[in-house]
Amino acid sequence: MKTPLDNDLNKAYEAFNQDHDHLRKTLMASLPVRSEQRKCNRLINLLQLFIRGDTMKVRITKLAAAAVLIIAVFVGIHQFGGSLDGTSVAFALEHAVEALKHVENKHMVMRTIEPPNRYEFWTKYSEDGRAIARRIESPGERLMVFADGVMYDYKPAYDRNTDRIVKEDSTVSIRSKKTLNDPPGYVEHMATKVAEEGGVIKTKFKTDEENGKKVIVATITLKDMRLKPDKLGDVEAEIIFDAETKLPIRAREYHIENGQNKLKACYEFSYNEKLAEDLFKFEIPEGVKVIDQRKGGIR
Amino acid sequence: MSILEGPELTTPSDKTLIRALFASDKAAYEKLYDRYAPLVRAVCYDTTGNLADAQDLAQDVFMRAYEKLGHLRDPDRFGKWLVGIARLRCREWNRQRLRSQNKNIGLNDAQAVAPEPPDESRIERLREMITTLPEKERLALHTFYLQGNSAEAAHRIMGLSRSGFYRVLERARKRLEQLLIAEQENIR
Repeated sequence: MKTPLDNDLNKAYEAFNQDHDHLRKTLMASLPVRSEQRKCNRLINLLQLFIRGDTMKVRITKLAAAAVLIIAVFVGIHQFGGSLDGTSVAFALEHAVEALKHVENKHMVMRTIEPPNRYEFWTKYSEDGRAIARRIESPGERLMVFADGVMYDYKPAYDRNTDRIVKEDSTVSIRSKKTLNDPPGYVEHMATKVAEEGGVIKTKFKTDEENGKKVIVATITLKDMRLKPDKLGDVEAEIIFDAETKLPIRAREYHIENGQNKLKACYEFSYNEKLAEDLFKFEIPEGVKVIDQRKGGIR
Repeated sequence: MSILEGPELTTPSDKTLIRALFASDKAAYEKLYDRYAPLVRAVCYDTTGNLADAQDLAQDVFMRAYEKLGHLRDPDRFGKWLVGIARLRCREWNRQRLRSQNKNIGLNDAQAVAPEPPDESRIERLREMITTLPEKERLALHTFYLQGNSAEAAHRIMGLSRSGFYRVLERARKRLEQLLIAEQENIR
């Protein structure tokens, strides 16, 4: 039942409907025409969602965006046929983008061949797409955990002779970190390179040998890159997208020296894994040096 | 003309309208305007305190939103996003007003700082009182009363659960009642 106050409030709010039709007409007449550039901008935004954590919270450079656009157009052409028009590609991708918005977490494993290293990155996202927790681990080398506005950075020190951890030389740095930015991912990194160096991108459909799923393989070639201080060569990256979800699932990077392909790094991406409850928790190991860089912390 | 509509099956969702807009259907933006313009005007009124400026600001907010639609991550949250733009525009308006007031004080102090003549009508007074409430409570009132006393879309625009929304709304109404009582007592 409506009270007298309700009635008065309803009357009070009627004022905000005054001249509505006239105002609407004026606004619509003054709206700019959505140019092709705007359509491209929209596409870039869709693509930021498309590669989700790789670009989402990063200010994507115009060059990188242009390169990602190229990838998208290729993917769009192959997947949806025909048109080079940015809008149609954007629309074709929109259903995939819709699914991506529900990605809850991302797990990336990066392996480098020379020197041999393995890094794992887990990122958890909030419902509105913000990165809210992250764990970066290089077994035996370093562990960084960010959650609830605090970041822990653990660097164990080893005795060279015994290979055991020397607690008193190991450190844990603690910092306040209100927001968590997503670092540029591999896909964005390559996109930037393509834009800067003028690389070539080719895409094709394939059936994944590992699981029989349809995938899109994007091969990026960058010519005459400085591979070592005194050596130039080509870099080739192969990024594999799930044809159904459009998410990048694997990537490999090769350096081509004297006509020979050398594998330099492998990346694997997975999404919505069931994460261990304590994945984003960190307990300070006993006896290590703690450098608390938070306000009022112990240095 | 419609005001904020509930999620009826026959009513296209914000997401559907934004998709249509990107397919060059400009009429979709008219529908979004019809849905949200009263709310945006109400939010702007909280800052301007007069309807004419609130209308101008709201038009500006819709222009900006149109230009920045590409930045909207989740079309389902268009309402909340739009209110965010409105708040930002209001802060800018406030800063501009202060700057021009400061300039005017040097020229004609009396003219620049003279308050507008008060409108004594009860409803006008109520609208003014709403502007004195905390921001969250104001928005709860705006969203609720601009969509025909329904909390369905209102709680989503505010990013609150339905029960959380009702709590804020109730708090706003109580505060408003207290203000009305206090004013009545002062009059007596």
